[in-house]
Amino acid sequence: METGMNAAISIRDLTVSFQGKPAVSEVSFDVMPGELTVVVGRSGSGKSTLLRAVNRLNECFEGCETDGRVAVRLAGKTLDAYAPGTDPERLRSRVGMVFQTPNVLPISIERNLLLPQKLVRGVDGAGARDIMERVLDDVGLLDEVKDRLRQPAATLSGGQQQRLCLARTMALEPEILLLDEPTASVDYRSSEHIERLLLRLAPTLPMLVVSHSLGQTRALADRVILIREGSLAGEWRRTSPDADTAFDELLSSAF
Amino acid sequence: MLAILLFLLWFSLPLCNADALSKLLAWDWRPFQGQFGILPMVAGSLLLSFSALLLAFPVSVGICCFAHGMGPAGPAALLMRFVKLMTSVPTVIYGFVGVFVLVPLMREVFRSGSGFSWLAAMIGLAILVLPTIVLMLHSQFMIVEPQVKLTATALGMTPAQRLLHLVVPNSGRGFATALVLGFGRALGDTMIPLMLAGNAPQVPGSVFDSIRAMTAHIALVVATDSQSLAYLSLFACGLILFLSSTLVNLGLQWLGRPDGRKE
Amino acid sequence: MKAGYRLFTSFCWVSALLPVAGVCGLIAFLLRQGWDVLGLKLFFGDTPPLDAIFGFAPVWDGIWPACFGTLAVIALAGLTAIPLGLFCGIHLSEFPRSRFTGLLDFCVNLLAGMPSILMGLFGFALILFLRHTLMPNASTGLLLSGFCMGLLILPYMVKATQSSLAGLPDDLRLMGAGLGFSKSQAIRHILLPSAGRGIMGGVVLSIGRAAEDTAVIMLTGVVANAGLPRGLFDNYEALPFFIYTMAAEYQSPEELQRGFGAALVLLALTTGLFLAAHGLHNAMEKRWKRG
Repeated sequence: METGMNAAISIRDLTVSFQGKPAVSEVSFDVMPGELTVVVGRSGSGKSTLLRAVNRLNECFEGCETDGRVAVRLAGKTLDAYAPGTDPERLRSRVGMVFQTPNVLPISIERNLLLPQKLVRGVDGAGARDIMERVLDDVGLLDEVKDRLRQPAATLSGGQQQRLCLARTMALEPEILLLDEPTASVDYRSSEHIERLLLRLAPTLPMLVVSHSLGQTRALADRVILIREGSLAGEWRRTSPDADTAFDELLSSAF
Repeated sequence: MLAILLFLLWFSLPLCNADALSKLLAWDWRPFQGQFGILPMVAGSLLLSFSALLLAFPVSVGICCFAHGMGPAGPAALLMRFVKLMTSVPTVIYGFVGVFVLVPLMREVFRSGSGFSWLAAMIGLAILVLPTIVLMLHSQFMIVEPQVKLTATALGMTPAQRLLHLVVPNSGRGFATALVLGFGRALGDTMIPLMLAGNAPQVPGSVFDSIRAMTAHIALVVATDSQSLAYLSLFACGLILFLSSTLVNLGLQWLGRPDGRKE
Repeated sequence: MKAGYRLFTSFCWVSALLPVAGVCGLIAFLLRQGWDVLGLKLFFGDTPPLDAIFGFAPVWDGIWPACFGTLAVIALAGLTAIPLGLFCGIHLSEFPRSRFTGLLDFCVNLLAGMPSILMGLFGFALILFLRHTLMPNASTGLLLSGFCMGLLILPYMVKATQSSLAGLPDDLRLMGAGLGFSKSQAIRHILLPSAGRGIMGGVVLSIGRAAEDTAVIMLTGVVANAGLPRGLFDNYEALPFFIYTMAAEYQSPEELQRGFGAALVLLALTTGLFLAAHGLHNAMEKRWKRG
């Protein structure tokens, strides 16, 4: 295993438990920059918990305990996510996350994109609007919503909402991206948009994606991590010899 | 039940319809000189209720924000239990302690007369309506907060930013309901104004002056049997209270959530 | 911006601490002033307790008559409000909605929001009315207070019954129908027993309200020194009113001390009832929560 020096995310001996029951136990791996990493596993195997451990979002849930080390590389420096001096808000604002189900804020489309920029990054005015248009364009939403920016975000369709959430995360210009089954609850068109965007971003933006779909994993992943009952159960790399057969073997044991 | 309500209404109406109405709607209450104006009491009730709300509302918002992310989870849960428990404290006990703590305090600190004043009653009422407002706001926050908590946190917002920019702006209806509910409670309470406000039938010049609320007026007039026009004033007050509480209720219905009362 | 948030944080802390400090101070103050008088003497003065309880001997310097008056009012209010409230609640939750239930619902809400002094005023008006018409010698008294207090707590009863029944899983209703029960049989034998704890919670809560309210009884027959009431139409004493008069016109330090004692007793009573109601409510929720 790599030393984790240059890794974008380095996870060592990570154990997360809720009310004393472990959801993730003793997991170690690295996410290297430029290598799109996909986590697969049955539902309930602890994939989401693993993902949330990176930006300390598990702390929002009651009775959660986290052990082990998670380090992320931000602005050229390695930041220990769970060190006492670490500011969780800064960590979360630099490590973007998109959820399984679209979670637009109950405000207008435009405010969904502008408010976080203003609050988290202090970007306001024309600069923020430029960023807004760029990210909307990136997720293929600009043409669909540019005339209704002031309408509540909840009026969008599910797929549009999910793309809006991705855009909202991108607007904060994160250095690492976490995606929890980003296409699980969207229509085909949105799903395609999202996947295309992820492939385009992958070379420059380190990403950790949880996926439930075989096809998506095959299309996206440079690397696959298999989680079974909270533990690491297998790995795959696109660059490894006989990658195709290994992929099939791994995935057949996963799904 | 409807019959009962109608009966109350019907009983007050004919009493008010007489030409006594003009006498009642006057600014002077001097029963021994035949002047029975109840307007000072109406003003007193309104002033007291609004000022108590003014005092209780910001504190209530603070409490709710504390319970929803500004404070640590343990104390926050404890605080909400405590506020619920506050609803069970009898108003007469607030009044009683007010008489022996608040009033002497007023007398000492502000050196103004007897200490039975608008201010004392206002503080007492504020404590009384506080749980009502807090619990209403809390139930509204409970609806809004889960929708935004995870998202806002994942975006890197602090709890303060989440509350101020997302939860509070999306709880407008809850705020309005809480205010109306609190107002109804403050307006309808008898014991605190009766025991703390000094009960002089006048429009107060300052918060240290004595003031008389409609509810206290009813209690006082019944206690000191006087002439029949005094009784009229009593039913007029009753009618006004009845109408205002009906208005409050209609307001609540209009706001769509008539629950969240003292429970 | 940063400073603003810090200000907001401290504001929240201060807001949270204020009422806690206030109410804890209140209780501490009551305890300090009233602790010494707590005891049998507070209730019965110099009269032997058993004689006092059964009314053989009058109690002059204890709060027993006031306690008894309060209990009597609660009992009468309960007799009025509990059956009526049950019926209303059942009607509201189990029978199809119509214009009538809508109106009933509105009336219950209206009644719930009514200032308590209006209930008292209503009772007072009722007596005036009776005096002018049917019974020239009608006067305020225990029965009237109980009735008006019943009106005051009625909406609480209705709401509790209604929400407990509404909280029951639909399976239970289907079960009644499946067994071939008629509607009233199903309510009587299946729904009411299942909702029992929730309804009990409502009963206890209403009793708490009846125990604390002062405005109603002030207008309908409570007096300062009546001793034990001799009948349903007699005047009586009550705890909250006793506290009120002590605050206004105590004549000696001993009397004042008794006032503090009475306040403590009342506070313990209402808080105890409240906690009991809460416990019942929680037990009810736990029982029918799925998953």
